[in-house]
Amino acid sequence: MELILPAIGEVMQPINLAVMTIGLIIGMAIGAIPGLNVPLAVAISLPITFHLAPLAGIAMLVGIYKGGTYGGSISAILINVPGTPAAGATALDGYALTQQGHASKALRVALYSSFTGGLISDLSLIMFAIPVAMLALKIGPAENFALGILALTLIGVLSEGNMVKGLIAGAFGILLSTVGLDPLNGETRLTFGLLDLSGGFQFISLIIGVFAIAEAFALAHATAGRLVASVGQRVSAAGKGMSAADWRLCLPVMLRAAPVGVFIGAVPGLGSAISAFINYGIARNFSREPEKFGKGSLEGVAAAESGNNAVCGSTFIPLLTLGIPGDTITAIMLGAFMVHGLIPGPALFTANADFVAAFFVAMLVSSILMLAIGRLGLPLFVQAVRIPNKVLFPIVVALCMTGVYASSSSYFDLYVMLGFGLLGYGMKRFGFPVAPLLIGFILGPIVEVGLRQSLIISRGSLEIFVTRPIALICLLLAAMVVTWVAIRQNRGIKS
Amino acid sequence: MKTTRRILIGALLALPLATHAFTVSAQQYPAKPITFIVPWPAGGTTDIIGRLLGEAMSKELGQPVAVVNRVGGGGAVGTKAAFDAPKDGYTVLVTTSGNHVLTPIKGNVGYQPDDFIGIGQISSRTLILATKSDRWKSARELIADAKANPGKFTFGAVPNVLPFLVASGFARAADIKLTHVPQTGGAPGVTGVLGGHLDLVPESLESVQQHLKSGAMRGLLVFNEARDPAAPDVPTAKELGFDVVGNPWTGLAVAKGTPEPIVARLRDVMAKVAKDPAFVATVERSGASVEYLDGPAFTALFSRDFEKFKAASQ
Amino acid sequence: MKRPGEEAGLAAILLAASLVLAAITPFQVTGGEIWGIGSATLPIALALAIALLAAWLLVDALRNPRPAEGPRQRAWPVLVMTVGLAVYIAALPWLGFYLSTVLLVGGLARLFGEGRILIILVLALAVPAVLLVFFERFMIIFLPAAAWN
Repeated sequence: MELILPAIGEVMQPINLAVMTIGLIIGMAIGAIPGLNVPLAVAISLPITFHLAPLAGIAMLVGIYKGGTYGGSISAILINVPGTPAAGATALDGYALTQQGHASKALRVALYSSFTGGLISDLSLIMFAIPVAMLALKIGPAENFALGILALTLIGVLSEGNMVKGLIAGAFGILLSTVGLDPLNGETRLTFGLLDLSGGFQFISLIIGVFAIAEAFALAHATAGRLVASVGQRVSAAGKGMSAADWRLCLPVMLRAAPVGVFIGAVPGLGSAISAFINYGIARNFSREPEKFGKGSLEGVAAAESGNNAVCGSTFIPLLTLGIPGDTITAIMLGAFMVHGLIPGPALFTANADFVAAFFVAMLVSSILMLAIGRLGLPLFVQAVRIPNKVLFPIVVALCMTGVYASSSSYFDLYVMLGFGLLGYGMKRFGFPVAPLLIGFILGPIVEVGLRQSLIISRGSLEIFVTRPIALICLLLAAMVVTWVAIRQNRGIKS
Repeated sequence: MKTTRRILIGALLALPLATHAFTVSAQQYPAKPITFIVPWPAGGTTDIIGRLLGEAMSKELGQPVAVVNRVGGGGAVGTKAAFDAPKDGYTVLVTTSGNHVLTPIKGNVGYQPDDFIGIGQISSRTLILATKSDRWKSARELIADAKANPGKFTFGAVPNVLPFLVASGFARAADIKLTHVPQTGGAPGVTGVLGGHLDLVPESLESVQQHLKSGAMRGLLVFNEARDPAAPDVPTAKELGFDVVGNPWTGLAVAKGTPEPIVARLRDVMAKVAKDPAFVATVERSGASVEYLDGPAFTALFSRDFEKFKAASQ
Repeated sequence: MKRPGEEAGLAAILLAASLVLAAITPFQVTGGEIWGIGSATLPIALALAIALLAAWLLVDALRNPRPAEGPRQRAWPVLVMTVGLAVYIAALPWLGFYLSTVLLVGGLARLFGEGRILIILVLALAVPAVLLVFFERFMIIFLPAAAWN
C-alpha cells in the first residue's frame, strides 16, 4: 500500500498523462480504421516510445492497447465496419441497433462495457495475478483442445432456430481456417498452388468482407436502380442514451463477461477476438431474449465489448508473473521491462515493486482516461448517423479497400475481401447466420492444433483428454451444452 | 462561385498527384520514399528490428521508409514480392535465415537465396536447448535418460525452422530419439516447457534469458561455434562432441540486378547506423541485440547456410 | 403457390461442392499423418459434415416447400458492384490509388442512388485525397502509385 501513493504521483506527471492520452487517441483512431489493428499501431509507434522514459513509453503502449481494443467498436456500431477482429462480435448487434435508431445507446453500452471489462481486468491483474497465472500454466494442448470444443458448442447456441444452416456456417468457418500452411508440419494445404494463399485467409479480410462489403452489396440490391433517395435511407436520429432499464439489462452481462475475458486473456495465445465471440455466445445462452441476438440486442454489445476489453489487463498476468508474452503487444513490452532491469517472475513483485506499482496505476488511470475521452468523443462519433447511406457507403467501401491494402500491401487480400463480401451477402440472403462462421474460423486452429499436439504427446492415446482434469471438465461441459441445445431445439420444433 | 468550385476541385486533384510525381535515377538516390518489406507479422522480432532500422536509415537517407508486412508461406510471400519489385533500390527486404534460406530448401517458392545481394546483417542469435530447471542438470544427463527411454521426451518447435533443425540435428548426433511436438510459434514452446507440457525447447537465448535468470529454466546446450558471453555456463554442442551449429540471422537485402552505386549507398548507410551507439541501445531496448556484418560477408552467408541446412534437412 | 425453389437449389449446390472438395482435398495437401491425423483429416471431415447438413437441408426444402419471399428483386446492382470492385482492384497498380478511388467512390455513390452531380464530384475527389494524405503522410504506408510514375 505504501507503494501506491508514490506510484500515483509518478503516473500523474503531466508527461505521462499526455503520452497516455495521445496513445489512447491514436489507439482509438487506428482501432476504428479497418485493416489497421493494435499490433500495427504498436509497431508504428515503437520508435516514439523507445525515445521516451520507460514508464512513459509503457504508459503510451498501454494507451494504444486499450484505445485500440475499444476503438474498433465505434466503427462496428456506426457503419458496420469492425475496425479490429475483436469488434466483429460487436458489429453483430451494434449496427442493427444503429439502423433501428439506437446508435447513441449502443455506443454508450460499448463504452461503459469496455470500461467495466477493462477495469475488472486491471483489478484482477493487481489482485490475483499469481493464482491466475498458475491456472493459465496448466493449459496445455489437451486443455486447449477441450476449451476449443467447449467454445465451439456456442455455434449450436448461436444457431438456435436455424440449426442446420448455423452448423453449415460453423463448419465452413473452420474449413476456411485450414487453408494455408498446416501449422503441424509446415506443408501447404488447400492453396491450389497459389503462393498468396499460403498465408491462409486473413481474419481482417474475412470480417470486413462479411460485414461492411456485404452490407454495401445489400444496399446496392435494395437501391436496385432507383435513383431517388427513398430507399436505404439511414435513420438520421441517434436516439437517446441508456435508461435505467438498459443498465439493469446490461450490467449483469458486463460483469459476467469480464471474468471469462480475464481468464482468456491470461492464457497465452487466445486473445481478445476469441473472448468477444465466446462471451457473445454465452450471453445469448443466458439471455431472456435470445431471439434478439443478431437483430439488435444491447446485451450482445455489452458482452462482446466487456469480453474483449477484459483481455487487456490480464494478458499482462503471464508476462509479469512468468515472463511469458501472450501476444504481440506484451512481447514488445517485455523488452521495455527487461531494459529497466526487471526480470518478470514471482520475484518481480518484491524486487521491483515500485515500478510494478507504477505500471498498475498506469493501467487503472488509462482505463479512466479512456472512459473520459470516449464519453467526450461520443457526441462527435454519433454524427455519422446523419450521413445518408448513399454518401456514407462509398466512403466506407473506399476506407475498407484502403485499410486492408495498407495492412498487407496485397491486392490478393482485396479480392479475398470482395469474395467474402459476396459470401456474407449471400449468407444473409439465404438465411445463414454469420456468427458461427466467424467463431469457427477463429477456433478451428486452436482445436486442430490442440488435438494433434495432444496425440503426439500421448503417443496416439485419447486417454490424455480424460486423465487431465481441466480437459475432462471442459469436455463434459461441452457435452452438457450440446444436450441442452438439442433438447431446446427439439421443443422448439414441436411447439 | 463556379470559380471557387473549380479551384477547390483543381486543388484536390493536384495534391495527391504531386505525391507520386517522382523521377527515378541512380545519381540522386534516394529520390523518393523507400519500402522495407518484412515477410513476418507486425510486432514480431524481425518486424521491430526492421522498423528501428528503417527509422534510423531514413534519417540518413533523407527519405521516409515505409515498412510493409507481407506475411505467409514461411516468409515466401514477402520475399517473392521483394524479388519481383523493380530492382531500383526502392524496395529493400528485411530478411531472415528462415524466409531467405530455409523456405527455398523446402520447395520451389520462385526465388533462391542467391537471387539477393546482402546490404548487411543486423543480428545473429544464439540458439539454446532449454528445459525446466527441475529436470536434467546437463546435456549428458538428458542423453543418458533419453537413451533409456527412446521417444519419451518431447521438444517443442515450429516445423522446419532453425531451432527445429538444430534440435533434431542434436538428437541425431547424440543418437537419441526425441519426439517433436510442432508449435505455432517460439513463445508457445517456452510456455509449454514452463507449464510442464513439453520437456525441451530449442529457442533463441534472448527469448529464454529471463527464465534462465529467474531460475525457472536451465540451458543445456547452445548451438554456437563458441560459448555465448550472455550465458557463459552453457556449453556448446561442439564441446560435447556434436557438430551442430546454427544461428538465425536478420539483415537487409535487395534483389540482384539493383545498380551497384545504390547497393553501395545502402551498405554505407546501414554500416553507419549499425555502429551508432544510440541505435544499438534502442535495439537492446526491444530485447534484441546488434550483431553487424557488412554486405559482402552477409551475402556469403546465403549460399553457405543454404548448402549447410539443405544437407541437414535431408 | 409453393415451390422448392432457391433453397433446394442452394442445398444441392452446397452438397455437390462439399463432396467435390472432400474428393480433391487429398491431392491438395503434401503433409503426412501422425497417429492417424494428417493435414487432410480435418478439411475432409468438415467437407463431409457440410455435405451431410446440406443433404438434410435439401430433403427439408423438398418436403416442406416454402413460398418464395416477396417479389423477385433484380440482381443487376450486385453484379455491377462485384464487377466494379474487381475492376477497381485490378486498376489500382495501373491507374494508381487516387484516380482509381475517385472512380470507385463516384461510381458507388451513383449506384447507391446519389443523383446530384456536385455531391458525387466532391465526394469522389475529396475522399481519396483524405485517405491518401492520412495513409501516406501520417501513417507512412504507401498506397499504389500509377504505372506512369
